[in-house]
Amino acid sequence: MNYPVWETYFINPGLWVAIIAVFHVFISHFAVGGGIFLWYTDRLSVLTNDQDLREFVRKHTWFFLLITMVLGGVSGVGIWFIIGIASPEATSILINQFVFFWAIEWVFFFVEIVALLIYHYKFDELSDKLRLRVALLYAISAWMSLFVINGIICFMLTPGKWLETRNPWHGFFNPSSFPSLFFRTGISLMLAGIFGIFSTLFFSPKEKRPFLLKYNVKWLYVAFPFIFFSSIWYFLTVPELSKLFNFLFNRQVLMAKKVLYVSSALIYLISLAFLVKVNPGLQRLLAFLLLFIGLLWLGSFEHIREYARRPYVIYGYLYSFGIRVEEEKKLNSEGFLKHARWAMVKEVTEDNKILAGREIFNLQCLSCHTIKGLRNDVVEKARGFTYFGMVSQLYGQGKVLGYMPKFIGTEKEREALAAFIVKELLRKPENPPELKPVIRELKTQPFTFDPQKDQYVIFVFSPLGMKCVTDADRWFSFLYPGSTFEALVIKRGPKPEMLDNTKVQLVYKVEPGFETPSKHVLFWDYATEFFNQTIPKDLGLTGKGLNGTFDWDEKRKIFIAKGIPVLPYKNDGTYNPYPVFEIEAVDKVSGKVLQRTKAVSPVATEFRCYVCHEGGPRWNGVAGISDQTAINILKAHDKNHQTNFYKSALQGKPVFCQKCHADFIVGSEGIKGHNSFSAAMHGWHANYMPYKDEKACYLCHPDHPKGNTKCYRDIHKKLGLECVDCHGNIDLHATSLLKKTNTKTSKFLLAHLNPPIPKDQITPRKPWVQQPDCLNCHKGFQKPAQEAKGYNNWTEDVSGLFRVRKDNTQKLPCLVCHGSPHALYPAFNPYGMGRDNLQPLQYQKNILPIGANLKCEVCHVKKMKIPFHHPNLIRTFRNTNLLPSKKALE
Amino acid sequence: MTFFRGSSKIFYMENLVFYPEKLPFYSSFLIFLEHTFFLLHILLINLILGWSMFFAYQQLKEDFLPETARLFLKKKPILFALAINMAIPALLFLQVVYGPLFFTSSIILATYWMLIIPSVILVYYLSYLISKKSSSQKPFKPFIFIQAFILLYIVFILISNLTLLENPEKWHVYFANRKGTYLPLDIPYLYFKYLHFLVGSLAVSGLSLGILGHYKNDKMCLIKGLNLFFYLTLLQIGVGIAFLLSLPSEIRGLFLGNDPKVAFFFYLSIVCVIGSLYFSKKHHLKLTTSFFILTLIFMVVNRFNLRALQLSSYYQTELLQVSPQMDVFLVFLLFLGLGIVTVYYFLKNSFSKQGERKV
Repeated sequence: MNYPVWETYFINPGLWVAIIAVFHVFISHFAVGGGIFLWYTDRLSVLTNDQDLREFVRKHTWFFLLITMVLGGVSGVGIWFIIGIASPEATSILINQFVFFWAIEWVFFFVEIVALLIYHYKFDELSDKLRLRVALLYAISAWMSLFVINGIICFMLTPGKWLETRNPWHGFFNPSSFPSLFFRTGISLMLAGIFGIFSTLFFSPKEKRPFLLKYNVKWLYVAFPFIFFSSIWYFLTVPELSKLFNFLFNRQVLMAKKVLYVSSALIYLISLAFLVKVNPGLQRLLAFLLLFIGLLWLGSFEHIREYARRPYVIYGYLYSFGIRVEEEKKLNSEGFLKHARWAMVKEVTEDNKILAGREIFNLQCLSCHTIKGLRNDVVEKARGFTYFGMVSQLYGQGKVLGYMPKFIGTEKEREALAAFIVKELLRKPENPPELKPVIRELKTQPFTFDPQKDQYVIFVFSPLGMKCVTDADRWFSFLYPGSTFEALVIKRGPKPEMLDNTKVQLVYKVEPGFETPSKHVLFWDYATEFFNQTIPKDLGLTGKGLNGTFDWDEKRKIFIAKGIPVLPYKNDGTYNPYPVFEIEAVDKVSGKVLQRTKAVSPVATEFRCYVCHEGGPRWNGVAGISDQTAINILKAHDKNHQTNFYKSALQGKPVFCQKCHADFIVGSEGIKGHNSFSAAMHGWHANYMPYKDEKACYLCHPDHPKGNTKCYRDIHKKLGLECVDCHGNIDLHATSLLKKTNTKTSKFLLAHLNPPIPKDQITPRKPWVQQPDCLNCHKGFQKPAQEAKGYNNWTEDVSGLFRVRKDNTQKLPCLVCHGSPHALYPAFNPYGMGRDNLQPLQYQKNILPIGANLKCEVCHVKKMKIPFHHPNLIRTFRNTNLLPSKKALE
Repeated sequence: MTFFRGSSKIFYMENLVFYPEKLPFYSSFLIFLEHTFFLLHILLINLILGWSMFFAYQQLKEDFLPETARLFLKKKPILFALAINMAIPALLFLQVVYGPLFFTSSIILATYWMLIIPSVILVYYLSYLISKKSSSQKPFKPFIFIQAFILLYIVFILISNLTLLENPEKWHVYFANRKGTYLPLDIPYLYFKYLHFLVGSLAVSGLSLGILGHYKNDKMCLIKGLNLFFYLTLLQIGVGIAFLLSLPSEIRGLFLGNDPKVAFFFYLSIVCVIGSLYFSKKHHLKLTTSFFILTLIFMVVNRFNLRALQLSSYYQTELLQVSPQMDVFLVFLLFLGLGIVTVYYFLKNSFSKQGERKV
């Protein structure tokens, strides 16, 4: 923030640091271990009076000097140069805090240089005693160099008490400095052996090689316990959050870990090959290979170490792009650019948005990301996102995936960065195309009802106000086709009688054009992958089709048709999320139709995943999840959770999400340790969702004002109540779910949520089972108070749910009179007032709840005086002003 | 108030230059350490560069150098090792005191600055190659030229960076070029500063030839060396005057007498140069060397004064806040003392004629 940025987009400054550092560290560890090696081996040659061994030491010294003094020394300066360019803020702190430690390190380096020059140039002239003293001096100074540098490097990962005291000694002797020192000493000894093998094969007399190879291989094995035990000790000192974020979720660390493990095994295996007699040419080839693997090994370790301190460069103090943690709050409120000395743009406007974004990218992203470059290419990483997806990504950055620093700046600055990445780099439009509007009035006439003659009424209702179906079956599924109807048949009379399946049979039939859903989705092609069973086309999981009969649920005493695979896709290519079914009650004995009715089975595929995960809708620009959107979702899941779903789907094996994530509604128990499906979906996305009102809800649920479904369509909506008034906003919603799931990951999904009431006061809830209770607001079945809120007082269990609950007689489900959730009578369906209100229209010739305005005669054939079903029943409808016309009240 | 325009916005220089957090020790002492190590570093670099140019010239004019001079060809890797080593503390203390300026200037010319690293590796290895072949008549002629050219590049970038550091008013170029490929070629005194360094390197190398001649009892070599020093120093005076004239007039005025303290050291260095010239003409090595060392010391002071004057409206080291780490400093002194004693002990024993050396 205080410095300009070297704008190298192909190889960013951070990558230059990595390249130079790995190279340098490889040699500098060799310099440390090699020093001990020279002294020890020379001493051995003196003790055993082995002239060949001494000759080897002499030649090895020349090789050692050329490598360590030139490459090692200059690349060390190179690191200094590049860190000053890539992370001037951090370098400045390190130099300022540890200037005399660096100076002490230089003293040892100076002694090292002089000792090595004397040792090499005077090798043949010095007495054995003096030569060995010089070698020992070199070894000690080289190790002391390591000791000093190690303390400073470890400070960056575990600054320890320095964070409070700012005492350089506390910074230097920090929690990881000693384990790291042992670890690096082990590395140094191992590399001494590896380089020794190399030297042996190129500079030693042939007859001496078997001995020397064995001798050098021993160095690797001496180093092993140092490395092994100190690595455990070292890992234990890594900050806990880092262990979680970086070692479990950071793909790059996971890859580096694999390289580290494999290369460790290879180093020790290949070293054994030098103990057997093989072709010298092959041995030399193996020596090169061993060196290369050694470089990989060290590179992967350093990579892990660097990433372990993410998102900081000095843990808990300075973010990796050079902003102090203490400045974060101020920059978020006042603006990042305003305080960035080298930003050309100080305030974001519509005109300078892209330029401002570029400035922010340079200052906050370029230290780790390239643009179409060698590593961490931001274009590749952002490819699957839309502009809004990128805004969301930046909003949630560093919250769940804690190895990334949080975005720092205002909302406008976040949008500017997103615009730069998406519009400028990816050349995508700012707004994805809106859904093609297809809502039109669909005339639906209810069947006629003669209150004088008809002896029977049928009530058919959908327990879900909207059944959603994911139609990306080639890639994944989490909501498969399978709607449900429930029904009651009542024989009218002063004391109405409910008929069961011994007397009547209920038959249903979908309206024309919806009979063959298999023409529109691939669900049936992949059902075996999802459920390990073949499902005949156009039948649901339960065997129900688009026409069929209801079953009798003896326990609940209702008729039920579960798993009807209806879709909103009509064969004529239109989208209709409210298909109508005709249902007939047939006398089992006489075969006579006792009554007929119509009901909608609401079903939608309007997921707006494409608003963030680029790809657009699937179904004629109207609804659905397109292949591209689905692929981007899978790739995001794979990236964030180390899965391979995209690859698996390409091989014809799409994933059924609830196989891992438990979900009550599909009857899945999931895998232990995974969040429930609802908790995972809401918990994850809440962290990324910049909206906290109902806009957040209808990005996924099919109720967008410009959408083609508008699933929340009842009287509450008309009264101005939004989703969040009953369910809580997305943060509260997610918090209640995550608190219930209580997994390891739920804790950090929860960490950055900011619900409107304190987290500890939010009642955990089980998805689908514990929902807002209607009586939270309608206390005693009365008109709700103005300030009433539905959330945070959940139903105890399934029996308390509105869709399951019954009246005081325990015979009549609430849904019979009130209609489906989110479509309560009077419902205001965008496809026509008749759609959801078919039964009130049929039996009452209005759209009000059954029995409202004292229409008791629908069942009772006369007016009743006692509110037997629930209190406050015998009254007129309150919100008449909301009704479309007087006709509706007739 | 200095400001400049960039993409229709006005930026204020004061905002680009800032003071670092509290220094870990007194700035004056840190500056002293910086200049001490810089002097040692630059002396070694002078020798490396000067001798590289001498040997390059010798490839064109074979009798230019006496045979004794080949020792420098052979020992150049050692000079490299020590020069790089001495660069570290110089750079360290520079970064502590002038960090906000140094990091910024390094970023603005980052591409050239980073190219120094592979360049140094290359010339360093070339020095080993050339050293191995030093006894032959034409030791890797192309390599000697390549080495000299690369060294000229390295020194030019080093001087460019330090010049840019002293001229924050030029930093606005960053807004037009962020690729790190700017060089402050529009600062007139850069060229004379560079030339001053080159001629200085040749003069130092000439003097070192004289010293070598003295130790090798090679009279011809001694005289050749002192003559080279004399003529090159004479030339250096001319370059120095041009350097002075190319400085902004107010700064030049301060050196010439408007600021007595600044002028005092400037004139003192002139007197010492004249002394070294006089004694080199007389072929008096010890006095030449003594006056030369004094010149160098005063030149270092002049160099500091020039930087302070250039930066006076942006960055004043006296204003830097300090929170001294006295305990760590004392530990550093202890290790420095131990290091010097140890090195002395080993050098003494390794190079003594009796000592513990093999017979």
